[in-house]
Amino acid sequence: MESSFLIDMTKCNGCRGCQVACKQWNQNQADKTKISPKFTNPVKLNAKTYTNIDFFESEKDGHLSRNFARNGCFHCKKPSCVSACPVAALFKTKEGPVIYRAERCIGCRYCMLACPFNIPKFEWESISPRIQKCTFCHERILDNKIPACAKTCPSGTIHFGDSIENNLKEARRRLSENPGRYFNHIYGERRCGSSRSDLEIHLRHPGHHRRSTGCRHRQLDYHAQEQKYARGG
Amino acid sequence: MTPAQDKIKLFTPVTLGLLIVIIAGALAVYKKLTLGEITTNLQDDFPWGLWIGFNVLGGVAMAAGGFVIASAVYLLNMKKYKPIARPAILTAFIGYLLAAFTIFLDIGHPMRIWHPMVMWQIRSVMFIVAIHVILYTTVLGLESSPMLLEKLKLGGLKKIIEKLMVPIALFGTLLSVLHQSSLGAVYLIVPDKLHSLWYSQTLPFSFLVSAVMMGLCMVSFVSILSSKFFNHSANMGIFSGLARGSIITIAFYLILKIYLLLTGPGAAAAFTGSMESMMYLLEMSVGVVIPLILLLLPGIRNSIGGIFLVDILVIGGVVINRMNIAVFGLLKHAGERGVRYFPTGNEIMVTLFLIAFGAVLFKLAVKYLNVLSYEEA
Ligand code: SF4
Ligand code: SF4
Repeated sequence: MESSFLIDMTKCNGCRGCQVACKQWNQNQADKTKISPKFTNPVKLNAKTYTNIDFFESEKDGHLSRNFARNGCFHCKKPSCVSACPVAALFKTKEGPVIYRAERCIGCRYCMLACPFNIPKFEWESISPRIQKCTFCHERILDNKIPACAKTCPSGTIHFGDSIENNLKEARRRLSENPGRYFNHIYGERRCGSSRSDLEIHLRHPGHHRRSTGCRHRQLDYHAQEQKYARGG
Repeated sequence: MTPAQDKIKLFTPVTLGLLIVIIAGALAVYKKLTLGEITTNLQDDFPWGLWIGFNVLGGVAMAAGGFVIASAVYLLNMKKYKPIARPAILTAFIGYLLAAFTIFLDIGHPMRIWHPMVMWQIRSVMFIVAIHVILYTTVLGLESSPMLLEKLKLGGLKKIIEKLMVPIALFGTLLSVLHQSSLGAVYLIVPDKLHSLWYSQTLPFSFLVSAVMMGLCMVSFVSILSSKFFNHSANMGIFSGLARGSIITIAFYLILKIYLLLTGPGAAAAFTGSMESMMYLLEMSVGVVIPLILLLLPGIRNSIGGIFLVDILVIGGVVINRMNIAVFGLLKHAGERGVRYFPTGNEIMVTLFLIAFGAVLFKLAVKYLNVLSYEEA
């Protein structure tokens, strides 16, 4: 794949333009949300929200610093969701994006269980429910266009247009030149329970490690706190 | 109809109770089909719940008695068990029908349940499971068809099927072994999510062994129960034979589970006092350790009542095991993502509906078909 993402979250300013652009392009409705202590909004991905920016706080030189991480499908090289699906409704395109053919889906939701990142979401309220997740703007890619989120991003966080190999090289360079700036891991390069990503390389803020435990999902206890708050606890 | 069958009353208080559950449950089914998944408490971070754990995994494990007895009678020619072949196969058939119905209900697009048959994705465990459910339910239908055919006076067809019984049973055994283990394989894909007390690479094998264990007890359970309810004399030789089979399988399963515990999360994990460790201990004591000790006591092993008690324990224990894998073992992961799961009233009602439905179906079959009086026929 010639065009993949290098997402450097230390450049993110939390404008959530990508979230909005994603909703606009996919014509997804807005969520009813309320403010949460960490300002992540919506708190979690859902059938109408394919990507969101995780807000979290860390301490830097005795000061509070607000940092960000991005959630969404990694478009794994060997996607668990695709190998789970009994009818090949989810499949990996030759361009790289993992996309979904609604007319095949039986709604068994095995893909949701299988994805190590809990990315596929289900339209629970619908009587004719579909699985929903990021498509890497596959139709835009086929049209030689940039994915909506990358097109919108004003801070250069989402870099699009290089091959995954080049992006990996660049990510390694940034990590080695600026070790203090990043959490020392290239997200999407390798991951337990799932293969590396074909399309997305993420670099994260050092404060991120508080919430990532080895190969478990990157949001763990953080979400628990948010949800507790959302429930009024 | 034999005199024993004549004596079976159609409307007993128990049956009336079951009918009430069926009517209430039918409403719950209707609600699910018209309103969709919203009638369940399933959510994005907890996509499978009570139905998959209890009805599908439990129902299919319960049905394992069918292939065990069918292969004993038709393949190994153990004539002694012929009298219970029909109840065993019928129980399995009902179990599979209920599991298949639950899948139909659980999926988001019930009307597309046939898709796996034409849209193959052979690397998917779920595809394998779907195909097995379809094929094995057909096999069980064929295996139980002589009961119906002799009622319909279709002797010719019955003869043909009975001639084919050995290959059918062979095919059924093959499918069943694969299906029981592939249900365990469904969970191989969630190493990060399923609690380490249950997750292991050998899940398919432990599913198979525990299913055989439960299947034997289920056959013995329904046979004892029906002989009590339907005034049918029980043949002690058969039951102690089944109990001997149970001892061997349970002991083997116990060793397997201990080995998995020691090589996996370590023995201490079972005694941390967490919800998972309690569920694990419950499952192991109710379904494995206590039944094994009981069966080793000659007083229990040689009495119908004792065997009946053991059957209930093992069935309960394996159902808890399936629930642990499908629900309790995943709750921690879901909790970390801020999600709690408890089935809605509607979900529980559907499960009760299916249990009641299965029981009534069995009773009707026993009354109108030659299920239990086969030995005299
Ligand atoms: S992140 Fe999840 S949904 Fe996306 S390709 Fe990988 S397994 Fe599939
Ligand atoms: S819910 Fe649909 S897309 Fe997901 S595994 Fe089942 S059939 Fe495939």
